[in-house]
Amino acid sequence: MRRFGKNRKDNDTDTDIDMVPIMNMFLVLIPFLLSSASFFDINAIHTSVPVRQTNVNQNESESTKEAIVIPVIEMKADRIQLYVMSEQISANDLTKWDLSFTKQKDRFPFEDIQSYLQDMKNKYPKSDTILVIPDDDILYETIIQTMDLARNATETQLFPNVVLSEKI
Amino acid sequence: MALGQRRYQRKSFVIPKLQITSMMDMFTIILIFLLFSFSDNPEKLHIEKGMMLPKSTSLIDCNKSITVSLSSNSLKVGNHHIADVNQGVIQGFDRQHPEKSKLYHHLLSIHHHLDPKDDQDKSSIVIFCDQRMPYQTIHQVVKTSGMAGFPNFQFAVLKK
Repeated sequence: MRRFGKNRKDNDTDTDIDMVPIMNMFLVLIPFLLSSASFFDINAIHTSVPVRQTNVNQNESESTKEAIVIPVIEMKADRIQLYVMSEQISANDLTKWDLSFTKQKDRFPFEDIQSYLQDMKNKYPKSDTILVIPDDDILYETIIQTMDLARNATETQLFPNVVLSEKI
Repeated sequence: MALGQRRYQRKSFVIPKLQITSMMDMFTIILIFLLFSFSDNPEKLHIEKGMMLPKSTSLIDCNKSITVSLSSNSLKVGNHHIADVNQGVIQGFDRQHPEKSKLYHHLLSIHHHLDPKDDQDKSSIVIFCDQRMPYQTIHQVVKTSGMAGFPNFQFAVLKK
């Protein structure tokens, strides 16, 4: 019995995995990844200011589906006013889109504004430009929030071309 | 004799094994974290100290072209200091005559040196602006840039 136990002890082999090559690989990989890691993900919102058009190519169509409208968001300190500009729709139809959203509990009702813009996009799917006219004291953060909701709904793209302007 | 026995009984020196399991765990966690934050297009963009960029849902990458930085205390084009900003007011900027400002002249000189064949992204301005800045100040910069020949902008934002 004692001899059997002695034999087992002799046959035991070291089964530890050699970690040194893995550690070497890690030591190479980590500095490389550190050098190309980005801790701040900076993106961009493309926008423009209104420019004078020299050549207006108007291809007017009578049907509402083809009509192109430009929604305007006027940002005031206490409310957001929305209306539509278009040369292809009658004044009566344009005034139907006039709406004002007042600030509630220091916050603009962005969800309601987005559903309004969604309805407009459904009615005039060819429209892709929106005009944002903030008041002087509106903060940049609020403007970016408004631009976000004007560009994208939850799944669909609304008005990707955002133009910043001032009240004339 | 007794001394010799003691010498004989002394154990031979065994090299101590380094316990690297915990270090392996740490490296694995770091590696996974770095793999997730890996960027195939790392841009070196200088952000002013104390500047808070707004968060946005935009997924468009920021092109490194001409950068205008508007923080709570200074206005810069690239690394060039243009003017001081005090409580949202750009010092020495006449709102009625933006064409007389230092910003306009600086941007105009950049515009003259641009290749006309450059695409729109290269000739657009990236604006880094503090989220607490009022539109009045931003509009002065935007309007002046438009007058100097840069009507297209990119507002730098942080990914939400």
